[in-house]
Amino acid sequence: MKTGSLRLRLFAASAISVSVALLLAFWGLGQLFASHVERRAIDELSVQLDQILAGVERDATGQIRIGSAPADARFITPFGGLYWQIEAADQQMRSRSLWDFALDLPPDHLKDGAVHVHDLAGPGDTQLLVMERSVQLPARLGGIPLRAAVAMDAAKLAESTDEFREDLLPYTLVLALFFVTAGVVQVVFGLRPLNAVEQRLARIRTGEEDRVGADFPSEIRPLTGEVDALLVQREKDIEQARYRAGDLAHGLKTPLQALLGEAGRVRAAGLNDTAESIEHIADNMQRHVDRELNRVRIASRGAAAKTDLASGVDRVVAVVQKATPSKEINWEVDAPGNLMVAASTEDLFEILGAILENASRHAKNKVTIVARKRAAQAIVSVLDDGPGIPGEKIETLMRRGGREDESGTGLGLAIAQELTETLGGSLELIGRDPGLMVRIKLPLATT
Amino acid sequence: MKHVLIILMCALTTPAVASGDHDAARDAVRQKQVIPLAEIIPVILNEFDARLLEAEFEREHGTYVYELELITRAGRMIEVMVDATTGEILEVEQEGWQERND
Repeated sequence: MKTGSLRLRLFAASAISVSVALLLAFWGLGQLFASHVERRAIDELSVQLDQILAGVERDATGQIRIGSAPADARFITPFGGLYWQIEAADQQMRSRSLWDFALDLPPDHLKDGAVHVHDLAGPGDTQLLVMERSVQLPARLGGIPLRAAVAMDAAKLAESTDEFREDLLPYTLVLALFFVTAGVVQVVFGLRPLNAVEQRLARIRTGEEDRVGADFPSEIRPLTGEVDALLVQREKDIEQARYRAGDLAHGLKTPLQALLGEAGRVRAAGLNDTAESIEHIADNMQRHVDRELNRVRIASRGAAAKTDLASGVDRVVAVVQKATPSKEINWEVDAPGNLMVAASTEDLFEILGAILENASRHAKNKVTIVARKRAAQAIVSVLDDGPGIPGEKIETLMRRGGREDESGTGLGLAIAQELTETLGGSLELIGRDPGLMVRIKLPLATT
Repeated sequence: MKHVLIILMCALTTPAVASGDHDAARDAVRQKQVIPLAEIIPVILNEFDARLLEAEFEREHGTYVYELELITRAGRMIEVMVDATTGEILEVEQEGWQERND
């Protein structure tokens, strides 16, 4: 398959065909006009020929002469453009316009009444269109055969054809311009559905639509149908792969619990180091499994989710307040109302829930929440005025293995972190004096 | 009487045509006494930037002469006498004034 532009190919094809068609038309019209001019000339010559024959007389000495020659000035002025010549027996008579020149009529023997048309040389290097006729004179004029010819300057005919071509040229050019413009319009208009396909595909990529659809011209529909079939196939494949990954994760969950139990027994047997290392490995594996299970859960909710961040924060704050009525905490929330994050409401609640609950538990009496937009991300900073966490402990905390206390706080943070990561964002803990800051970055929803 | 009148009128109106000067010219050309008119005309037309209106062939004082009537591009009518044997311009006669060429 050749590359290049479809439009250019169509433009070129239309330009070539238009040029060829108009050249042919230009040439053909010229030829038609030339033959028309010649026909009219022959008509005129035949009228003149008849008039000359009608004027044939015989004088007293028996000589043939033209009694009343045609009055046309072109017959009289030397080289005037119209000529006649008569030959009878040994006599030759010529129009005055021939001057010192005589037509060299070809020696063909014409039947009486027959008419011949020749192209002959004329006076002064001119070319003549000659019409000649042979007649038998009546007895009154001697009853002899007579050959009469009239001629016309062929250059005049060619001249009028040239003039016609000259007049025709601008019209042909205007037509060419029109056809080429029409061709461009046709191509642009005709290929417009291709742009629509391109736009539809772009919308599929951004998740605004999930199929190309069939509302296209019949020539494109096979293509869009194939793309849609491919999309369906890919979705099925992905779903299957996801199921398989989920199954694998589920399948690993129980053996991992068993492994941790075994580690406990190893510890009981006094092999503390070994137990520690087994637990560490198992926890690591657990973390991978959990992440995969999370991913399955999120993917099944649809990727093109969007939730208003400010209202999410407000609702979670309300829930956390209600859950800990005993504690008097001053919540300071600063979140603009137009930030839509690419997360489902449940996911957002789960992330914010874990972080805010943690903050409220550790805060003395104040939690500050600030949401801002930066590039294509929303950044939520949550700061409490509690005791905070030492720098080296933050690292361990964010690993699944590290637990801040036995109540499972670390677990909540870790889940929140994994969820943010699966949503394409990030979560970091920053030690402040006093307190702890959690900074959540979430991608903004595409509009 | 009537015939005489008609002949007279013909002679007055179109003397050159009636005299059959083109036949005389053809005879002279065939006897190689004069240069064919077709060879003289382009030279003259070019020289005066003019168009040919009429030509006559005459014998004056023993020499053959072409008497050409021209109209220039500027719209001036000129009569030019040309020596038919040599092609030399003998005389140019213009409306309103005369010029002699030797």
